Amino acid sequence: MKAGTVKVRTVKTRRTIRRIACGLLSMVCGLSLLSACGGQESPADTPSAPAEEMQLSICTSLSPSVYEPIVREFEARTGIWVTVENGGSLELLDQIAAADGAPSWDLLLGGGMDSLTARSELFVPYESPLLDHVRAAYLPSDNCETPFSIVPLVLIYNPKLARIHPPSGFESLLDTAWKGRIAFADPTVSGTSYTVLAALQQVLPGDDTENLRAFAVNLDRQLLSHSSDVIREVANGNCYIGMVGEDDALRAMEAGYDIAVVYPAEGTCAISDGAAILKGCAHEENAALFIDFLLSLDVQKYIESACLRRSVMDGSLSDSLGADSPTADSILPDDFTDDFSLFSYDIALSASSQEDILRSWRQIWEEESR
Amino acid sequence: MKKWIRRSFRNRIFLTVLLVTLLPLLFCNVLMMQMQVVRSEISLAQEARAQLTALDGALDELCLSFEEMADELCESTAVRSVLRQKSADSRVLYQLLFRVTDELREYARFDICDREGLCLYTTDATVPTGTLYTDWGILCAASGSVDLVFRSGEGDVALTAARAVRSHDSAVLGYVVVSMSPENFDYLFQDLYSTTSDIILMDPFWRPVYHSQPAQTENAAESLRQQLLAGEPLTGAGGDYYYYTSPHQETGMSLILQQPMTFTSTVMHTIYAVSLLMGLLCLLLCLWCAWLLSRHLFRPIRQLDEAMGEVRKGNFDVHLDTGREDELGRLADSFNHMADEYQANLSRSVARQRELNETQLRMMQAQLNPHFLYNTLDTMKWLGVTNHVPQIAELASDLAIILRAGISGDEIITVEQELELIDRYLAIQSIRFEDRFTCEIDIPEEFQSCLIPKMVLQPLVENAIIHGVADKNDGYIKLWAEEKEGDLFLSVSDNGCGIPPEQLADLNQRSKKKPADQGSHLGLFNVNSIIRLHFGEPYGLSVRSQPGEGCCATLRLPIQRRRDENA
Repeated sequence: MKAGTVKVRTVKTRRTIRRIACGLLSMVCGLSLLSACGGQESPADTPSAPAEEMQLSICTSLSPSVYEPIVREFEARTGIWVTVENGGSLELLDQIAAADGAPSWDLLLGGGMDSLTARSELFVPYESPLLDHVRAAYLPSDNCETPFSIVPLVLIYNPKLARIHPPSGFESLLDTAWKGRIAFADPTVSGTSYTVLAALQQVLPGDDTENLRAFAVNLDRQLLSHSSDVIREVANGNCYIGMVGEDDALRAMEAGYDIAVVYPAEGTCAISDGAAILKGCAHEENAALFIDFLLSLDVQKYIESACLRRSVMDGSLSDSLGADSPTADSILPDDFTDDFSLFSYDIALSASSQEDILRSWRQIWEEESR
Repeated sequence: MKKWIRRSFRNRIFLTVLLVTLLPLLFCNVLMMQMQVVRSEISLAQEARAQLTALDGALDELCLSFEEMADELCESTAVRSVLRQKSADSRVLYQLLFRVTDELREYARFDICDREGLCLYTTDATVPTGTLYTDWGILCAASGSVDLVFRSGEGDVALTAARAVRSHDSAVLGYVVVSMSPENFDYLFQDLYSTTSDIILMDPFWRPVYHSQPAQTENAAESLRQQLLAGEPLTGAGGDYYYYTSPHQETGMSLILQQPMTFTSTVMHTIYAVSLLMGLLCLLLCLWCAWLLSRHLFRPIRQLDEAMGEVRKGNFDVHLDTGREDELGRLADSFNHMADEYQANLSRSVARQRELNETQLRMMQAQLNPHFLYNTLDTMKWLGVTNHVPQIAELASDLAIILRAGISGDEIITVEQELELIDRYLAIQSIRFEDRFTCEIDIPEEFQSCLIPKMVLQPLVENAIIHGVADKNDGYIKLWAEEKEGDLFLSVSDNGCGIPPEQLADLNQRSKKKPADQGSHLGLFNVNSIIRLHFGEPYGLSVRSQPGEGCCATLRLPIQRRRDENA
């Protein structure tokens, strides 16, 4: 009996010792963890994040010099916090499609209307009340995309290197004289590059596929990763010619780049940039507010004067504001094609055949790259 | 691990020593490091708060001065009049402009624009040029407010502020525009914060307005904005800075002080690496000490364990020599003593067994040809009967009975059976001595059933007759029993000539030691030996005598009875 008691006590003592040891160990471990984490914590009294309904997330293919002033003005006027992510328009469309109805953005800003219309299933229908003032030729075929500025395609060339026989039009892109000297971004990433391919097919005579092949051969296996690189490559002499949006070329010239602009002799295509609300987005109302803001007179006038873009609105917008409005005197021009001619670019065809053209391009490019 | 710990006492000592030396060390190390980090954080936070307060105060004071300046200009009739006329060369206005901005021109550039946004007057060294959008940006905001409004600037301008100059009927006549460049901010904030820290000024939407390190502006501001929007703590791009924010009420902007961590992740990693290295060194030292200590404690125990194993195998010659004086040394000494004792005891036991075997051998020799003797006695008995000599027949009969009892297998008999043999013996002796002695037997009934070795009383009676009363005519022999101290005492006394003292001492001595003279008192020696072999050392024979007064031989025996009789 006595021995049994002693044994029980020994077991109890062991348990107690074990508990103490475990306690000590966990204390040491806890302190180690604290020290490991404690050093990394910021002591700053973090200001609170804006409410969810006061946020908007945009993805855009526009250059920062275009979208930043617009976004800042929108923030100042509405109090809505905007986050922006940049990328090629087709690349962004692919990412939105991959998100499968749960995109991380609310709005796609920029990208040709042809590229946007081709993927209209990714967007929520939205008709801005200001759509009535959009030039008739640029009214969208469905109500999912909203046009906001017109960007004619222009040829640019480096005058130091191509002064005697400058390029004249789309035909120059197939001219072997420029072989290996054409700055061109990957059309599977850049919407502008895709529009160039579609315009090539529509404006040039002959077999579409052969034209594409001739162009691919002329590129001599050189593709840029982003269309914003085209101007730089031409200006620094790596390439001689390229095709870009008119506003980019004009702003580059204003910034002092030594490039020259040629409006294609065949006529150019002047498609509009669009904006669209993404299906399944978190801040649909704010995205709609942003689209309305894009079509407002202030923005339309601002993009004309500051961004050198052509407004998609006609004169009725400034008329509608009334004669006594302080901004009513600056009337948007009804006709903007004095400087150049347009060929009849079929946006619907371009949108519907986008997949075919890109597939055909990929195949040709692979064959020619071997 | 558990098995390893349980396997040996030494492992437990080793582990315990290791834990008690290493754990407190680790604990103290971690605690000290943590305290250092916390202290550094607290002191840095206090420093940062003080700097932020000073910066905030400077910005406040400047904004107040701007407002006073704007008030004075907007209320000035000269300004209104010049703006109405859109005249750009009024000396009066320039004098006014330079007077009211006298103290402030180091902090900002001041312009006066007409209502189309065309700059007419400026405190800048160059000729006034440029047009601001009136329906966009700062002028649009100013036209919608009666106060000085602040906005982040564009291009070289970090911050702009503007206030509309209005006519008495509140129509906008023009604008007073304040433009602060990053250099102006450098000048404003200089000496107000430590050189290791940086200042970031963010607009209400957390877009950068000013950064004291312009190269870091984009990166740092963008990551801070993303962290704010995600509701995460502000850690910046690299995570090696503390950020302290202070909202500036006047402008709606946020002042952020970027302070480098003393214990950055790199520093912490270095400290951890050094601590780990020190810990490893300590671990090695502890391992070595624990090893030595456990070995020192364990060695005698292992020796003891091995010695015990040897003893179990029957080797009693093992001897531990620990050379220690502590408890373990004493334990080893005790073991040595125990082993020695055990060995001595075993030797004694072997010797006793050998003696018993010898005695039994002698008894067996005495039993040689018992049947021949018995048959001879039987013949003698019938010869006595046939020849009408009844004494011969009686003698032979009694002797036969004694002989039979002597050679029977029972080693232990009752007192009663022994007395029966005594009777036979006395009958024989009475024939020889022709009743020259009498024998009185006084054994109480209660002792009759006690068990004793056979033939132990007979030699005593024989001794009393042969050596005591043989030469006397009135010999008297008494046999009696008594109980003392729980033992049975059987005594035989006579009134014979007694035994001289020297012979008596020899006899008592002899009774323990085998006599050299085999014939003399060999019977008494055997009796003593038999009793001791049966019952142990305290029992046996003792003899008392006074010369001329007879002698008394006493047997001491344990009281034993048959079980059935006890029951």
